[in-house]
Formats: sequence, C-alpha cells, structure tokens
Amino acid sequence: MKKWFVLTMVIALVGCAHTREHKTQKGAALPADLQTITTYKFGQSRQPLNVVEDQVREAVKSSQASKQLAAQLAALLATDATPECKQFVCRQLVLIGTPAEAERLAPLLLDPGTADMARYALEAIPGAKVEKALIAALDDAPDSVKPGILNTLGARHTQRAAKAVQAYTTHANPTIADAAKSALEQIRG
Amino acid sequence: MSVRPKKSSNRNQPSSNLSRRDFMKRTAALAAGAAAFPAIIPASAFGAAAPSKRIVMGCIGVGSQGTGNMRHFLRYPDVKIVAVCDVDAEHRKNAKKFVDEAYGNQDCAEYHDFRELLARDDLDGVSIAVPDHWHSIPAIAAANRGLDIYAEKPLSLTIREGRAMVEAVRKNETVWQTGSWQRSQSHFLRACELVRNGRIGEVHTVKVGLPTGSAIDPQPEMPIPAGFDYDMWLGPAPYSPYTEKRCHWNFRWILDYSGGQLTDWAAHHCDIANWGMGTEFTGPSSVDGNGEFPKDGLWNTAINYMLECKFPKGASPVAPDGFTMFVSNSFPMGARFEGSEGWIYVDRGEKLVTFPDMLKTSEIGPNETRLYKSEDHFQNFIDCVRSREKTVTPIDPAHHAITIAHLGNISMRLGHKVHWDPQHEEFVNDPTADRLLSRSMRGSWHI
Repeated sequence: MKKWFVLTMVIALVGCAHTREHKTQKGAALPADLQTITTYKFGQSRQPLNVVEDQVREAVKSSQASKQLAAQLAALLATDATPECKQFVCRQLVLIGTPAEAERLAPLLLDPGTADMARYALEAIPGAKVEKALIAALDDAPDSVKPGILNTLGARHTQRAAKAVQAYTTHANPTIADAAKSALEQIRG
Repeated sequence: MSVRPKKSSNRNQPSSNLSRRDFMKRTAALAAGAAAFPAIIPASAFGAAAPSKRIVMGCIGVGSQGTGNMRHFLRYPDVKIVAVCDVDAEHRKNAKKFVDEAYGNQDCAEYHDFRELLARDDLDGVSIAVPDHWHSIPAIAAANRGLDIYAEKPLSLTIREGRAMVEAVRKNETVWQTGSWQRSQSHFLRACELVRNGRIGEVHTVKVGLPTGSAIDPQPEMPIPAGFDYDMWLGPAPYSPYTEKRCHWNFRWILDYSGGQLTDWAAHHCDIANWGMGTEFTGPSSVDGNGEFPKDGLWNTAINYMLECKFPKGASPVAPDGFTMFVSNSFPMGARFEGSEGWIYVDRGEKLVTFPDMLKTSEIGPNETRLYKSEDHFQNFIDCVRSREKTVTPIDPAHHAITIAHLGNISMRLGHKVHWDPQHEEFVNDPTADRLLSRSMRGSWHI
C-alpha cells in the first residue's frame, strides 16, 4: 500500500513538473521562448538563450516592443527560474530595461546571491526611479552588498545620492567607506 | 576592494627622501639641461646614497604573455624584477623560479594579490599582462601609486574603462607603453611614414585584416584547480561557474572578459592603421558592424566580422575627404592603405608590399613627416622611464585603436550602425548604445 502511495506521488510530481508554467506575479503565462529559458543551467545548450537574445536585438528597434519584452523578461526575476536564467535576464535588461523594471530588480539588491546581477542591469538603465531604488536599497542591503551599490551610484554619477553616499564615507567597514569615498568623487565629478 | 590610491606623495620631499622614480625624473631633467648647456656631471654629484640606476619592476600577471614580457625585461641589465604576481600559484611559482635563476638568488617575491605587490615601496614600474577584464583596475591603481607601466593590449574591456585609464595616466604623468609592439618594427614605421607623406596620394580606404574567431561546445562545470583563485580571476566580471576553457588563454573568446579576435588584434593592426593615417587621437564618426557569432557553446565572441568605419573630413591629414576603414577577418592579416596614387600593404614577417613597387625605396626627406622611431619596444619603455618622454605606444593611441573594435562589437550586438562622437566619446542619438559604454563591476571592484 505504502509502495503504491509513493509511486502515485512520484507520478503526480513528475506530471506537475512537466506541465508547470512559469507565470508572472499577476498570473499571465509567459511566451514559449521565455518559458524555455527558465530552466537553463550552465553547461546546457545556449540555443534557447540565443533565440531570446535575437528577440532583444530586434526589440531595440521599437520602443513599444522593447518595453513589452523587458517587462516579460523582468517578470522571470520573481519566479523560481534558475539563477543562470535570471542572470541572463539581467544581461538583456542592460539593453532594453526601463525604469519600470527597477521594481523587479530592486529586491534582488538585498540578497548577496543576486545583488551583482541586479546591479549589472540597473547600472545601465537610466532614470530617477532606478536611482531611487538604488539609494533605498543602500540602507537595507547587507554590508557585503553595500560597496557594490555605492559603486553603481558612483558610476552613474547619481547627484541625488550624494547625501546618502556621504554618510557611508565614515562607515566602520573600510571596504564600504572606501567605496563611498570613491563614489562621492565620481558623483562630484 | 580596489587599492586606495597612494599618490606619489614624495615628489615634493627633500632630496634625502628622493624615491627612485623621482631620482630618475630629476636625472632626466639634468640631462636635458646638460644638452642645452654642455657640462660634465660627475657621478659623485648624485651622492653616495643615490638610488641604484636599475629600474625596479614587478610583474602583475605571469601567464604565457606575462611571462614572455617578464623574460624580455630580464634581458636588460638596467632592469631588476623584484616581484611577480598571479592568481594561479603554478604561474606564480614558475615565474619566481625563472627570475631567481636569472639573478642567481632566491629574492623574487611572490604575490597572489596585485594590491600587495603595488604596496611595495621599492618599485619604479610594473608590467601588467592580465586578462582584458582585469586591465583597468591594476593599471589605474599602479598609475595612482606613481608607477610607470608596460601593459598588454588591448587596452580596455570597455570604452569608459579605457578613458579612465587614459585620465589616470595623464594625471599621474605615468610613462606608459602598450604592448602593441609592431610600432617598434622598422617596416611598420616605414609603411606608416610613406602613407603619412602622401606617397599613395589621398587615402580613401584602409583594410585591416584580423583573424577568424572560433566556437566550442557547451562546457561542463568543473572543480576549480588547486592553487587557482578563481574568484579573484573573475574579479570584476559577472560570476560564472568554473570550466577550464573559460580561463587563461581562452578568456579572449568570451565577451565577459574580452572582445574576441577583433579586440585582440585590432590593438595591433588598427593601431598601425591609425598610425599611418594620423588618426591616433580621434576616431570614426560611424561604425557599421556585421558579424557571425557562435550558435551555441561557451565562447560567444564574433567568428566572422566586417566593420565599416567612416572617418570624416579632417580626421586624417592624408584623407581630406574622409576615408573608410574596413576591419574584417576576410582580409589578409595586416593593414592595407589604398590611395589615389597607389597602395601599401604591411604585416608581420617584414611584409611590406607597395604599388607602385618603387615606393618601397622612396626616401623620406628632411622636411617631411617623421614618425616616432623605436627599434626595441622594451628598451623604448626603459629609456622613457628614465627620460620621462612619451613611449612609441602611449596610452591615447591605444585607447583610440581599441575604441574602433569596441564600437564594432557594440554595433554587432545591437544589430545596427552606430554613430559616434569621438571628441566627447558618446554615441550620437543612440541611448541604447550608450548603455554599452561601460559595465557594472562585480562585488566591491571599481575603478
């Protein structure tokens, strides 16, 4: 009896895994090409990623297409897509991300495992909304992530961050203080 | 995490505290004065406590290229290598062994972290030969530390990093030699002087031939070899699992760390093209790049590529109407200058072909343009460290040569022609391309 129960559960779980769709937080199904990349892991064929890269290259030509694809890609950041998939998404957002994607990227800044990939995208996306997200994350992020956020604010020459960055120049952690001083130099130009 | 620049604080100190570098600067000034007012300065004038006349160097990055450069420097009796640095313990130990054997002692220090090497107070200069994604950080730190630099090409990973390097070198009055050593070969000099002096008339086209790229299958994640600090190797680049074909020589074929054959060789042949055309301090106004990239696998730099780079009127003294530089793996390796009255083709292996043939023996007159002559790239660096003059391949031309390749890669990635303002180093009405001028650095690394 126990054996049959276990077998039934395994079949049910496998079935779920096969039919599971990655959905956005609002529940909308992802386009098939994006669905395919959600399970990408290092060492596998990159062909599905290349398909999406081609779509991004095409989307760059149209503001509307670009916005739509950026939103669809950013939606993956809130799913259980693999870290490799999420890193790939952040790389694409460098080109087509808009301030609207800051909302999806900001939570990743607080996790040392995802902060670098989030910054990779955010550093390239213009807009006050992005800057505000970075500044807001500065206080909440763990110490190991703070230097990176400071560096990104410096690289973006974020004037509005000057006061917040200044506060970190005397931080007890020398790596953070060092990053803050350097960022401030860049901000003040 | 990057080195806090320790500015050369001893420049204005009393002579008793003269650093070796200050000593050389002042000696150079004295020598210049001596040229104007001939006089004999006895060696004793430098004082009993005068620093050694040997240039003390450290080597950052001692893989294949770095070890090659290190071995070159070891041949010069007026250079002393005191330290080597590499994130791979095997590279490091081999390099130390080589230096120690050359000097017959055990004195060469080993460092795993370039910041520790740069913290030494006995260095005059460094040789830097690390993967491209690591070029800017140690170079800027070394310049800020007051050291002279022999650095491998291509200059930078991104245009913004290159610009930051140029500014650091300028601010610190660093003597900088780029490893674009073709400039120290007489037939490249000869070709460029012929072009510059109008021997082929007005130039309309330059064809730069570079190698073809490669692809490789997807690679499995592998255990990091003992003694290899992979996290440090990645440094500012995005995290990726270790696999053998990612690292060391192969970094060149992955866009996170380099720009492929295009950037690797543009630093040689686009540099020569710019030298001949007199466009070393400017750039194209547009670049249209078309390329074929690997369809799968670990490596992702272009395999085949064709860049069409338009230089506007006034950019070159020998192309009053402007000219087009084509950069591609479909041309023979080297640089071919095509003008209204002939052409000149130059490549390694003493290849210098001209049409008409008689151009080869054409004399460059005393009132004509002469370019910088160096017969030995390493000696030229050493001489310039002493004289404080510019080297044959200073940093600005290196930046402008590699910018052509960076623009090509950006154009290929975007799938459209990019328009470029070389003076301000910004794209024209292309905010998407502007996003690719720089890249976020991982962790706490920054320039």
